[in-house]
Amino acid sequence: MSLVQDMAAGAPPLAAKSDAAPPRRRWTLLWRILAQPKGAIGLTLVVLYLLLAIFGPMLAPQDAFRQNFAQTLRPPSAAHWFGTDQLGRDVFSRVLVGARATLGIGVGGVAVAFLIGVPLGILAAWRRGWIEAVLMRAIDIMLSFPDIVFALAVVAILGANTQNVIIAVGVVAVPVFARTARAVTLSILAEPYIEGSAALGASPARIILRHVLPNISGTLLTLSTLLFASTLLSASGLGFLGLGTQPPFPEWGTMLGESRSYIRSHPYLATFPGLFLAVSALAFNLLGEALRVIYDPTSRRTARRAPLFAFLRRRPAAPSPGIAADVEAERSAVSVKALRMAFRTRDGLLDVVRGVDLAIRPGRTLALVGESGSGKSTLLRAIGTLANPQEVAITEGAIGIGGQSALGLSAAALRELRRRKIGVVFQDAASALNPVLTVGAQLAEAVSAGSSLDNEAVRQRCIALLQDVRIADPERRLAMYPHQFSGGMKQRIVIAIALAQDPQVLLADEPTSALDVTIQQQILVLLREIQAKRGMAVLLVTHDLGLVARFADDVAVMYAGRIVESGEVATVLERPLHPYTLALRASAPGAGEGRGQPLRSIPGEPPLIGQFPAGCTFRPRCPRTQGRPDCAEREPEPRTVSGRQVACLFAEEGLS
Amino acid sequence: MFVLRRLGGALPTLFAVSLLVFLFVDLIPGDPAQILAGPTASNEEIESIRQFLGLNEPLLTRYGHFLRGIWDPAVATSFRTHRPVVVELAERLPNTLIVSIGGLVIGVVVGTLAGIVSAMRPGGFADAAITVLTLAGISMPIYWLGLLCIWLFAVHLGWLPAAGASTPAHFVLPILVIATRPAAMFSRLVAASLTETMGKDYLDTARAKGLSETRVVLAHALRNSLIAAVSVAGVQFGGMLGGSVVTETVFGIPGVGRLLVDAVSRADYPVIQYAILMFAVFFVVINLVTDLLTQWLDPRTREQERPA
Repeated sequence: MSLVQDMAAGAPPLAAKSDAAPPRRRWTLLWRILAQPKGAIGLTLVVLYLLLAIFGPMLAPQDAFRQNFAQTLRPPSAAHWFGTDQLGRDVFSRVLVGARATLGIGVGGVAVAFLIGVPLGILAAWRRGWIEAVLMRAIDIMLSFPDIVFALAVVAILGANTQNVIIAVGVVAVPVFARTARAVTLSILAEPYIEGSAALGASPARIILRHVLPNISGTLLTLSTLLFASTLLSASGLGFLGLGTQPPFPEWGTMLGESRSYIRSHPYLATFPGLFLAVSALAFNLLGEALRVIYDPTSRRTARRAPLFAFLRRRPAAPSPGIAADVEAERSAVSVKALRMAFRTRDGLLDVVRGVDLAIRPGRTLALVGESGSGKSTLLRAIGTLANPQEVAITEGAIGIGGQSALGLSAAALRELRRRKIGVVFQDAASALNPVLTVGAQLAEAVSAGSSLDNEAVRQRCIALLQDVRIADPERRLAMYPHQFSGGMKQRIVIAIALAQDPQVLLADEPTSALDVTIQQQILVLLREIQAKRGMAVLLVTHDLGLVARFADDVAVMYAGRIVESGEVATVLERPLHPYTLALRASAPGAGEGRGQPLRSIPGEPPLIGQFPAGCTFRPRCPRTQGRPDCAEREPEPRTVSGRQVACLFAEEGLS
Repeated sequence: MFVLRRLGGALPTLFAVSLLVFLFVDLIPGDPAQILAGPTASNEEIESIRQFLGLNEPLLTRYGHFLRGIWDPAVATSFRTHRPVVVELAERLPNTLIVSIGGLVIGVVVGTLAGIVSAMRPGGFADAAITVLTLAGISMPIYWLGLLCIWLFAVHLGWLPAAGASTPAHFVLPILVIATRPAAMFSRLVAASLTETMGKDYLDTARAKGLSETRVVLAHALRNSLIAAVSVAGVQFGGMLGGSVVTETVFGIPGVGRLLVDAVSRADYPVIQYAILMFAVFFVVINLVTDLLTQWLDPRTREQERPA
């Protein structure tokens, strides 16, 4: 009975949209509703119910009010499809006639609420000041009553009849409309273009009519539809209690209330009015949900959904046969062979990593460089065994961590691998720590996973870890929550968690790009010291070439899912041979050919995943190709040129 | 500090609520005494009813009187039974609370479990089934569901009693029926907020520690999702107290909701006033407790120490 209040609680997310482009044309809206199963079913049922409300009384085969004491309480038969009630009236006819009253009360209630609530809400948002304060206070007070109790009070004051029920359920829903209208209007009014037209001298009425109303209509339509369902149920609830539409007039709730006395002997009396009522509420809820998906992008939970039964097609990724043995035989801390990965989308698999080979020896740091969208973070997640199999598939190749294949493992083996061998540091330390657990709890979890240390030993280990990452006063800090630390401190804690079980490999995904420059330096120096002390292999994903030059031993440049140039930092950065590496270097501050020169940006856009150009993927932006047909013909394979691997057919031209 | 501020904020609301409920009698169009006495009553009868309702006193005195009636049984008596309203309410409150709290607990537990299942395999069979059940749950008129359950479990199968409140078995059906709505609400809420939480980096941090997926979900994801759920639980509980007017009628439970419905149909104004006041005060207090609980559960909103 409390859906109205639930909606009020849910109003902010519903209202929190302002950038959703509402469908401009009516037919577009209709099409978008019908495109969803929920919307198609809901809309069909709603239309049927509306037809029922309009034509129901005319279709009724018998007089819904005629009593027949020879025919009381008969079960459904050919003459009386839904049976007869205690006064011998035809239930089928009564249900048909009652449709208009029942749905009419719902329509009336929502209309009352809409016509009072929406103008009030817009007024409050527009005028602010005391009007808003008074209105919000009044809404608070009204929402202090459970809605059906409030409706009962209104009925108690005005008396029980159909008209007063409409007023009662309408008044109850006013706060929800007012609150939502205010919230959405506020967000629209805050848009720069509104401020612009106000500054140009547009009148308030014009701004509201031209800008505010069209933009909030979608949200209000959704809300009205959902509220219709709850209003219908509240109104019929009053009818059920005998405080709504008065007998002998048939209203579904009132009919249910009358049937209550006969539930033991004649259950079918309750069946049909209840069924019609429940299905009508369902219809409006379905339609409302469909509208919500259209107008409220934040609720689009379905958008990311995999198709039904997709899990049948999905097997855990297994390494390609043959290569798995290779990665296990190698002595590298990380070894990636011919790895291909693809995003799962509605349109099938889209390649994102396309045949990558990588190796990091213990004690070395490999920097993986590239623009956003080049696939470097996806690759790092795959190496960290954290790629979400529902979103991304490993289609080919093998990954080895410390001489063990990381693909096709059982859940237990995977956990063991993550505990002992892999540590991960994410870009944004603030979101990498769980906000509701203490730092101590999060560290202790990392330390004790898969081990049998007692509490004191775990605590000592946590303290030691915090000391390792240079956090002073570790005993006290363990009891604190992440939000009580600064950004740099949080990143230190994330590093401490990553180091908890002495991993052989540390994966760092842009670990410092969220930090300011002096803190960046400290964190990187810290990482380097820890690496030197423990002999870990480090994979550093970054787009900052300056950072690569200072902190990495090797570098791999990634473009469109492939590694286009890789080798020792000194070799590669001193004289890049791939035009993309050249361009990256020229666009990096301080790493260009000479300081003081203006920064050059790389012309063109990086290609979108799934839309890679044929041949060399860098061709459209490449200054070296100059339309040579070879570049368009095939994708160049990496080959050794002057001490590094480079995937350019004309790499040698960079030497001269 | 926050507690005091929040309490301070609730007091004016409570005052306004009490004023509104008090003015209830004056909002009735026409003379309430005339309505109560009926069309054939003599002037003396009407006058004695006015006396009984205290309608002749000045407004302020009447308000003071009304407030005193909250704790003083001698002041406010039912117009129909002439028993103190406070006693009438107190006798019935336990039944209402048993059904509401029982329904809430079961609804929250079932809903949370369903939400987790739904969020773990989005698009899977269980998710589809739960989505359908959830929609059915919020669309179901609980009075109809109650009648169907009475027919099935009490009449047809004969497992449980149909109406009354004399044994624990009497409470089983009402609790289960009233639990459907919070179960549906919670399953949607938990599913939605879990799905959102599932994309967070800190879950990958937890996975990278080598924790099992169950532990990742229960200890890390769910804990965050439930903070949002607590505030909804509060609203739900308030709604269920209100919903008791319907449930108690369906199942013939002598509770506060049933008392209110009877009072409305018999125009027993004192009972209506105090019953509504009680519901409203409960509602305000529940909201207050929910706020404080959310505050306490989420360390970010607790009183902050200085960032280290």
